[in-house]
Amino acid sequence: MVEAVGRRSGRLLAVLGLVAVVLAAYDFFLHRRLAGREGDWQRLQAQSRAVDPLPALVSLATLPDAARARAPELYEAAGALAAQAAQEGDAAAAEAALRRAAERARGSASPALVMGLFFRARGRYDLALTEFARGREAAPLDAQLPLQEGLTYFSMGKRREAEARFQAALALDPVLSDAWLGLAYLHNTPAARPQAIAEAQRFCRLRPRASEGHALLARLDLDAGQPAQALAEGRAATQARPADYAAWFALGTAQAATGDVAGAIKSLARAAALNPSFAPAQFELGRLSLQQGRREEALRALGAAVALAPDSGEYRWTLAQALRQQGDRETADREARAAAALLAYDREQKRLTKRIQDHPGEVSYYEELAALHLDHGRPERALPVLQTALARTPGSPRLQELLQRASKTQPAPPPPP
Amino acid sequence: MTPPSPQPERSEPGSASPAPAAALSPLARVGAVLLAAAGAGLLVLSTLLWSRIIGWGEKIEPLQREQQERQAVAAAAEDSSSAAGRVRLGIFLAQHGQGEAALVQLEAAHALAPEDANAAYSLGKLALMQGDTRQALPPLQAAAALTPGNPQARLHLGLAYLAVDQPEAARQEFEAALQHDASLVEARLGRALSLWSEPMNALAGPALQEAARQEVQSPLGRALQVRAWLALADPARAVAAGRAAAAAQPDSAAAWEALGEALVASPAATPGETEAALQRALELGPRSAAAYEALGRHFLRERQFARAVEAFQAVLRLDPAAPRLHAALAQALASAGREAEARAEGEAARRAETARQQVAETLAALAGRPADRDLSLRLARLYAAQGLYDWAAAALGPALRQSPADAALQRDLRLYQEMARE
Repeated sequence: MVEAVGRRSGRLLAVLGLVAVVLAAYDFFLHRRLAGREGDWQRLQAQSRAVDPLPALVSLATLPDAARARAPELYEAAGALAAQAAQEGDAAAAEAALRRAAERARGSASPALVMGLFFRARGRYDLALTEFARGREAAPLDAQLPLQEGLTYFSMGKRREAEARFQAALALDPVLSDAWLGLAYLHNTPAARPQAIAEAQRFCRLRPRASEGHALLARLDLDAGQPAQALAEGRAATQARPADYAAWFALGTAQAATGDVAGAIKSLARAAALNPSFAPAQFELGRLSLQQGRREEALRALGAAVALAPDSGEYRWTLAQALRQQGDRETADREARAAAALLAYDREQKRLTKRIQDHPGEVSYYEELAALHLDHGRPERALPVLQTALARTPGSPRLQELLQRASKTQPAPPPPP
Repeated sequence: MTPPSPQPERSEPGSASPAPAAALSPLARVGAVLLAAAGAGLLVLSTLLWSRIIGWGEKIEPLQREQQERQAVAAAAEDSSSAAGRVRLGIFLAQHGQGEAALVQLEAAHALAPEDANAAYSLGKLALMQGDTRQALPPLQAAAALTPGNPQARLHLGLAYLAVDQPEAARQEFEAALQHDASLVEARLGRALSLWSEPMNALAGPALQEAARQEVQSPLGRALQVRAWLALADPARAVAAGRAAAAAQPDSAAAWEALGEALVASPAATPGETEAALQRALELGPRSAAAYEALGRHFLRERQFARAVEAFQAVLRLDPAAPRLHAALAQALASAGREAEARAEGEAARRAETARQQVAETLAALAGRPADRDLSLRLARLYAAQGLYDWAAAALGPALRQSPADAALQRDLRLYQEMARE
């Protein structure tokens, strides 16, 4: 009897247990499915919110040349979209989509122009120049292509080539304002300053709603020792485009030069708020705050400036002063040592670059400059120097040795702020 | 004798029942109860999980549809050599809150096919929805010229004229729209409002009241309704209509702009609500001249003169030719104690009024000779002198279509295109 009861109990418990296990497994499965659904929702929600610039960019890449000529503002839109596509999302997918678009829009310069803008935004200047040259073949009368070449050369620091391309663009379209602005930037040297001023003024006449010309004129006037004129230009820049951080920076530096430190701090703070990653505004704000004895603000702004540009000896030196005033001697000394090293590196770099400019055929200066970069853990700076030198003297064993060293060395991590 | 059949044992009261559970040991009984409870709990849990899965499914479905549409539109844009694909992409982007990118696509479509009325209309309509009347007017003019029988194109052109203070031109467009579609409530409302805006037209009051009471659905229609109540000096009804518009279309710049304008006129409105409504309008349509103007008037009322000056300067960057805006800036500058600047701005207001009259005369002359080269050039130069470079470029269009090889026209067009860049 007891045995039968035990068997029956066992059977019942087993059945109930089995049902519970099946239900638990089913619930587990449902829970997994629910989690999957939640994940799907989050993914789709993120995709829905994300602004994908690629379809719009591809659409501009397939636009016929005549249509682009009718709406010049589309060049700017293409530049902004290309920069967004290059920095966000899947750059390889973007490149593939643009290449497919180029296949379909043969005979038009649009795909080459858009591809060039995309490559330049990715820092691949050589590919950008190839694309712009291809575009120029398709549309030899389109001034945008030499203009974009000029801007690319300017980004590469090749001033002579940039100037030639800007002039070529202006020969095709004398009212192409960006080419005038490019020339004004190139001529921003003591010797060519009057020319730069004339070119920037030409830009301002052609683009009355733009702030860039006034901001550059403010800088040129400051360099020429004309702070009152610089102030007027700075004000014109902020009035033309109040959301332009560079305009507020120009106004702030002009105000500082005329002795209006309170106004300068306000303008520089506005520039820093509009673009928190613009290191010069943070630095000037910190420097002026330090002068005014506003130590907390100075430390905050200088810390931000050094975090944004850790290679700047000047920024670190000023930060060291602020730290010293705050009483933090240990950190101040560390910053001062880092600053001294960076300033010495910078001085030597400038000296050797000048020597190379004056004696482009003297390979020893290239060797010295490349070795200097390598000694400071900057192989990415040494490589282009070595490539230029090797193009001149391909067989040099010293250059080969430095090249090997450069390709083995990892770039130094930025020093801690 | 039959043996007596065995009687079932009678259970004693309180003793175990003959049911199967009775056959279980007490421990098994506890286990069974626990397992049954666990099973029931698990069943409840699975029901709950299912209901949540179904709930998520309902949430996911529209997003999946949107994703499919996004992929289809992107594929169409990649393949498209036509304006239609770009218009589709532009409309899709606008519907998904990417107004700037949408405008670029529609501009590209309009540049690709200037004779495509749909591309012109879509570009003008989107710019108008974002409050950018200056950009809206030229493509809407082109759309109305290409398809004079399209009531929507005529209606939107009328709305654009109304926004730039050209009530007579607006009324003509609203009447043309009503000729082709008498059921257009917005056109009736717009016509009544433009009649009211014309000077010496006191008889328009009853018609405007009647039109303002009509049921409207579109954001621009609701905005018109708000302006109608404001014109009738009934800010309470204007605010009510504005709130209804913003509640019905919370993503519409036009709705928030209208609510903001109503709140500025209402003595009962709180400064916080007014500013918030107008800032929302500017978030959705950063080039909304009406929102900046209302914001300027709000700051003037609140005696925040520096902010009023900034707001009026912003609106003058968008609409540099409006005399009333120069006058408003002059007032704000004078209130802020900037007398010299206020006087200069007062002068600018007078000059703008003169230029407005000259433009009106030239437009009247052009109505009879639309492709006249000299008149087109004169109009373009008048616009350029007022800082309306995009209108100047558009004004050369008819003459250039007539003589596309005219070097002087081409040179001026290129210059105005460049000057219009921002």
